[in-house]
This record gives sequence, C-alpha cells and structure tokens, in this order.
Amino acid sequence: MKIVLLVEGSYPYVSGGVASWIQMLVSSMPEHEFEIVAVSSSRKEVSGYKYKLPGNLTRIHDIFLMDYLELEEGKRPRLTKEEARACLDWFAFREGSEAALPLIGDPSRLGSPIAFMKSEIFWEFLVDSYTKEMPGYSFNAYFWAWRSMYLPAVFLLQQVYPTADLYHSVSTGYAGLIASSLRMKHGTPFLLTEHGVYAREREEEILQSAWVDPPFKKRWIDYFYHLSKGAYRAADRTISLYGGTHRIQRELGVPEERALVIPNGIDYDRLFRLPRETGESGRMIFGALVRLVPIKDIKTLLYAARLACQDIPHMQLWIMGPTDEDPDYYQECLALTRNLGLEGVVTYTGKVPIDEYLPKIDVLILSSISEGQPLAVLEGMAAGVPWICTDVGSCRELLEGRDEHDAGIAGYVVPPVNPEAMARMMIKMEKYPQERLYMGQAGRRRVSSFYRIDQFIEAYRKLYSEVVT
Amino acid sequence: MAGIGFTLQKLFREDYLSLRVRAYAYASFIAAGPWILSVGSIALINFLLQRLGGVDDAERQLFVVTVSYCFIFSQILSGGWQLSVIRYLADHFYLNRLEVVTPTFTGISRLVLALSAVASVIFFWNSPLPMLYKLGSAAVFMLIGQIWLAMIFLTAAKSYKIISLAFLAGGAVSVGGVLLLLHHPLPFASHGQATNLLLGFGLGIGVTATMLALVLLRSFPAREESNPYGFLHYVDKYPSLLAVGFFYNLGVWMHNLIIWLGPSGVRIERTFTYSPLYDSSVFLANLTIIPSLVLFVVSVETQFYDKYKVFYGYVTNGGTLDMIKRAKTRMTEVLWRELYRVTKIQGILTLFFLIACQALLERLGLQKTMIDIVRMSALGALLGSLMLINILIMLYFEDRKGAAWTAGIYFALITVLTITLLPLGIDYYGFSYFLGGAGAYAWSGLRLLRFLERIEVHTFISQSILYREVRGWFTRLGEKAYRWF
Repeated sequence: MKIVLLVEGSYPYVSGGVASWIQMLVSSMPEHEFEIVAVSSSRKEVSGYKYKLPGNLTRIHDIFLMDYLELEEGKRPRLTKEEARACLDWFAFREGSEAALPLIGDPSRLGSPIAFMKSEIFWEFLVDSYTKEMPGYSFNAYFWAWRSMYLPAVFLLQQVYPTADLYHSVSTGYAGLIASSLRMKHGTPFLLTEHGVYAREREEEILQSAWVDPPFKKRWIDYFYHLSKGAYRAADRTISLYGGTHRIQRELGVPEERALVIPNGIDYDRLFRLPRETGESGRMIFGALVRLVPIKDIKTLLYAARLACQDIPHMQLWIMGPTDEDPDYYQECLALTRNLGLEGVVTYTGKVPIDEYLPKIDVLILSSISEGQPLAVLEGMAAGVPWICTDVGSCRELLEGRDEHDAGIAGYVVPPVNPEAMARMMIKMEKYPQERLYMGQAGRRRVSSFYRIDQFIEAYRKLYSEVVT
Repeated sequence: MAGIGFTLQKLFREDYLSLRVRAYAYASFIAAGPWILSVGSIALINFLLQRLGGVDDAERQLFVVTVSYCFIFSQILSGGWQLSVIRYLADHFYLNRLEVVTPTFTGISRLVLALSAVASVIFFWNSPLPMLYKLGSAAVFMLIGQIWLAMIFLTAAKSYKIISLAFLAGGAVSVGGVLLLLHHPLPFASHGQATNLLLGFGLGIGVTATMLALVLLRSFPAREESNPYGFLHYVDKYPSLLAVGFFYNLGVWMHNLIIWLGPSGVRIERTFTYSPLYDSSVFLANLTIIPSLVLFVVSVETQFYDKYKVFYGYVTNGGTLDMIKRAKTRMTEVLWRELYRVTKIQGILTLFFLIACQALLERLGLQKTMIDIVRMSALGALLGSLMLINILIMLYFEDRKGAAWTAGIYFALITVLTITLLPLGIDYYGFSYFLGGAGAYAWSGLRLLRFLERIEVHTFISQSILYREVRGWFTRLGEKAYRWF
C-alpha cells in the first residue's frame, strides 16, 4: 500500500527523535511504498537531507509555510451562504468544524486566501470578532495577527497533495491539519502519531515568547488547540508513545476506542551485544547523546558537571551529537565550558557512531526540558548503561517502569533545570559501581520486553492493515 | 500631477489676495500643464499670424501644422512616462534621496530624445520638405518634449515661479524672433517664410527649455552616482502607471488622429495631414476646462488632504476600527463635497460657454458646423477632465488598477467610436470625444464609489505582506542602458 507520512519541521532535514523514528519505520517496512509531505517553515531553513532515504521512500513533497507571503490576490470566492458559514465556523475555532477543511482547501470555491480575506463575508466576521475581542486595540495589529494566523493555514490547505491508501501524520499542528483535510476530502484513513503533545508545546512556547504581542497570546494558543482537537476528531487512530501523552490526548478529546499507545522501539539485538569496557580504576566517563539545541538544556548539564567534578576525580563528560543545527547555541555552550573552567573535563565529540562509544560510557545523562520518548535513552538502556534523566516526557516511565509488573530502576530521575540535583546523582552514581551494574541490567531487561524495534514495527504493520481494510 | 497640490496648502494659508491669485495661476500650470499650453500656444500663434498679415497662407498653415504636430506627439511620447517618473521621484523624496533627481532627468531625457529622433526619422522619411525644415522641426519637437519632462521635475520641486518665468521669457523671445525674422528673413531656398517662422518660434522654445534645464540642474545635487535609468524599474513595479499615462494622452488626441484620415482631412506638402476644421474646434473647446483642473488642484487637494492624512494615520499607527471608520466618513464626505463643487462650477461654466459660443463664435466668423463641433467637444472636454480627476483620486488611494482601466476604457471608447462614427460625416464630429469621455467618466465614478465604500478593506488587504523586488523587462533595460551609456 502507499502511505503518505506528513511531517512538520523534521524528517529529512532535521536529525533527532521524530526523524530517526520515521527513518526506522520506513526502512523496516519495505513492503509498503512511502511518500513524505515535509512541512518546513521556509526554503532558507532547509539544507540537505540528514538521512539516506530508504528505497521504498519514493518522493518527498516540500511545503514551505512562509511561501504564503508570496500569495497574489487570485480567484474570488464562490461559496453559497451555508458553505461560507461552515468555513467561518472553522475560522471561529468552533468544535466539529473541520468538515469545512476540504472547502477551504479548494481555491475554486473558497477563492485565493487573499481574495477570501477581502470578501465581504470574511471581512464582516473579522470586524465582528475584533469588536467582541478588543475594540479598543489597534485594528491594524489585530488584522496582522489574523493574517499571520489564517493565511498560512489556508495556503497549506490549498496546496496539491499526493493521494494515498493511508495518511499518517506525525504530529498535529499544520501536518495534522493537512491530514485532517485529506481525510475529509478523500475518505482515506488517517493515523495520527504524537511524540509530544503539539498544542501543549506551542502553548509553552507562546507564553514565553517575545514575538507574540501579549494581547494576542490567548488567541494563538487557542488556535493551536483548535488545530490539534480538529486532528484528534478527524483521525481514525491517535497513537501516543507512552501513558503521559495518552492521558492528555484523551483529555483533549480523543475518543477512547481510537486512542492507543505504541512505544518506540530500537535495535535491541545489536545494542545488547555491545561489551561494557568500563570499570578502569579511577576513570569515570559521563555521556550525553544529544543534539546541541536549547531544548536539550546543555547548560544545566555543564553547571552540574562543574559541581560534580569537585567530588569526582578524573571525571570526563562527553557530549556526543551534531553541533550544526543551532551554531549560536553551540558557541554559547563552548563559552560556558571555558567560563566554568571545564576545558579538561568536557569533550564535544560531534556526531559519533554510538556502537563505538557506548561501551566506554559509565553513565548517560539527559538534561532536556522537553521530550517525548527519547530513543537515545532506550539505546543507552539496551547497551546496559545506567541513566540520569530529567523528569520529562516518558523518562520516568522508561527508567522506573510502567507499573508494578515492570520493576527495577534503570537510572535516576531528577527535576529539569536543576544542576544541584543532577550533580548529586552523578556523585551517587560514581560512589556505587554495583548500583550501576544493576541499573544496566534492569534497563536491558525492560527494553527487551517492551521497546524492541520488531515489536514497534509489528504494531504499526498491524495497525496499517487494520485501518486500511 | 498627483501629490503636488499638497504644498499649495501652505500657499493658501497666507491670506493675501495677490498670493491667492498667484497660486491659482501656478496651479493651472501643474494640473493642466502641457496640454493647455499646447492648445493655447497654437491658438495664439495662429491668431497672431492671421492678424499680422504679410504671411503667405500656405506657409502659415505649414508652420502651424508643424508646431501642432510637435506639441501633440511630444506630449504622447513624454507624457506617458510622467506618472511613473513622478512616483519614482516622490518615493525618493520621501527617503530624502534628492541625488536621484538629476540623473533621472538625464535618463528620461535621453530616452525620450531617442524615441523622438526615431519617430522624426520615420515620419520625415518620404517627405519632400527641405532637409533644413525637417531638421528644424525635429529640433523643436525634441525641445518641446524636454520642456514637458523638466516640468515634471520642477513642479515636484515647487519651482512654480521659475516655470512661469521661463515660459514668459520663451514666449517673448518667440514673438520677438518671429517678428524680426518676418521683417528681415534669412534667405532659405524654399518655404522661406515657414522656415523663418519655425526658426523664430524655435528660439523661444530653446530659451524656455534651457532655462528650465538650468534651474533643474541648479536646484538639485548633481552627483551622478545613481543609475539614470533607475526609474525604469518603476515601470515594472507599477506597470499600471505607465498604462494610465499612455492611454490618457493617446485618448486625448486619438480622435484628432483618426479624423485627419477622414474627408475633412487636409494633406499638405505630402507630409502633414490634419483637419483644420476639427482641430481648431477641439483646441478651442479644450481651453474651457482650465477652471476645473485649477479648482481640483486647489480645492480638492487642500480641503481633502488633511482628512486623507488622518485616515491613513489611523490605519497605520494603531487606530481602532471605530476611529478608522469615522476618519473614512469624514474623508469621503469632504471628497464627494469637493468633487460635487468642482463639477458644479465647471458645469455652469461649460453651460455658459455652450450658450454664449453661438453669438461669440459667429461674430468671429465661424461656420455653423464648426460651432456645433466646438459645443460637442466642450462637453467632451468637461467629461474628460472630470475623468482625469477621478483617475488622480484613484491614484491617491492606490487603486492603480482602477486608474489604468479608466484610462484604457477612455482610449478604447474614443478610438472605436471615432472610427465607427467617421462615415456618418461631419455632423457627428466631436461625438466620439463626448461619448468616450462620458463612458469613461461614468465607469470611473462607479469604480471610485464602490472602491471608497470599502476603502478600509482595500487598504488593509493591499498592505503588501512582504517587500518583493519586481524585476522585469524595463528594469533590465535600465541596467543595460546604464552599462552602455
């Protein structure tokens, strides 16, 4: 069957969690043909594929969100009153309004995005909302907020997308919006996998951001929830990686019978064979398998290393991961390393083959402020390396087990952005080598029972054939 | 023309009557500009020569037709670029980049000179006129074109006084030169009188053109570092402005050109075709609309500008919708009121002229048919000028599409109607000018009405999302020209 994966800001241009997951999924199912719809912000921000594309991945359709800036006025709307009402319901964030998506996506009906915004009915709606929401505020600012909210969405919906036997979106947001519209339009089954909870992530981002004018923050947050809830209602199945996201999705409206959990899987058979080359006297190597980007909070890790190295003689910290994704952040990390006097302790290795490095690492650390179900943690566990993870995403579930039938801890969980707590655990790890050994065993056992790639692939294989027939 | 009236507001705040009169006079130059000057000069020359006596009729005709051709075609060739250049200058004035003025003048001058030269060569190719006469008229043709161009720049620089001065001085030299050369003619082999007349007249034109050019070069910094053909980029950026310019100027003259080919057309020296009957009627009729253009510039622009500024101020600087809508109401009220006032005054004047011209023109010895043509053309001129006013207002509101359509409809209607009505004979002369003007005016009025009803919608939606560099044929032409010349 032909499966179209809809991906936002990830594969094949960005390496890391979701992208590796896609690479794994596609290359493990040679019996299916895959195409990718890659939604990126702008042409300028993508450069080269980060993955070798598997043979059964036949096409990548690029969609650039910022291309909406080049829109011309174009065709006029030709909607009946009821159709126009249905479209406006979607723009008004009304529940269940996603049936209008194919209409919005049809330029011969809705007209071009610009012409539609100019049309009397939309303009009335805009003025009406403005009068209700903030009549004392700059109309120009309000208009621009609307423009940047709705034009990209309509622009995306009006692009041409490949037909398929199955649409599988790897997030809600814009990718989920497109998939919902295609589901409505063609009646083709639509699977939705969320690694994190998109709307929650956007909410946090908007609350902290400086680029959204404060009076508009609520509207933007509501907008992303509107997109997500629409996708939840449209999707035939909504899949989460672990219990935490599963619960939030259910709260946001995914019906119970269509919600399920399929955890990540990794190549256990290869990794568990890796030897452990640790234990040389007096040596202690901490590792971080991480891209150098702010969300991974490398700085907390560095502060923690500063504190820990006072108690741990000959301590090493290897930061293993690509540094080119956010060069500014990398430079900031290098500067902090110097300022903390950690030149002798911290090594930036760049991207490395993990099979060569994992055996030498005593303890792995994850300092992220946000995660889904990190593959790196699973890989480390499979190789028998104990972990110190921040309490984000499914880390606690991975290290401590899902329930009482899944006992044994594979590492310590610490609060995020807390260097002292992290340093305490690093010192504790160093003090008790027996604990480390035990944790490594527990990790291997857990991965082998629940997080093997064959289980993960089998689950999706079954799901695919189930929703298509 | 657009935008220049705003500075007049300052002129009119000073409450002196003399100042007011001066400003009116200046304003007529700006608004009616080349077009009135052409018609006026030809009428004046014709009148003077007839009164003066001693000039052979055929020679006088040849001279008058030559000068008419120079005026008409120079205006079509240079006037078409006018709006693009004005927009280019206005945008650069806004950024305080005055150094583009001199190079731009050089650039557009060269361009129009080259076009005029080519046009002259083609036109005179098969003509039996003596070479000297051809050269002389080509020179006058090009000089007049330069005058129209210089006026664009100098009105932008508010040098109204110097413009009037240059025309007065040039006019005086022309009259003096013509009188002198009639009494002491230079010995030319053939067409002696016409050549002498052309020479005398050309001297005056030369004086005006030189004075304007000198003032221009002195008023603006003369650094030559920017591309003199840079304004061509604006042709790509706003192609509609070029369309408005060419279609309007062509429309204004097209009915004359077509009627020349009809039965009333006269061909002289196997070179020039014209229609003495129709041309002088239209010229005369066109003079009647000077008041409307003056009134528009002064009254509409000065009354309306404040309201216009408030409206756009609220749109861009954080006004609430309520403020914007109220500013819109005030602005459109003033606009309609002023348009109504201009239409009313000019309408009364034209009506008065229609009634009076019977007695007036009969006394001057004009035939009945000609008086009918004058009347019909006066109505045509009235509608044409009201249409021009609508075009200018559309340009203030950035409805360039509407302006281009109006000018295009004007040109198309006049062309088609003149061709259709031509076989019906002399009784129908002037109808196409009237009907074309009526059609285009009606269309522009409706467009303006509908556009202004939703002006806030148009204003917001048309705010360009992102500045996009438009590079088309004209931009590349400009860059190539810069490299070569």
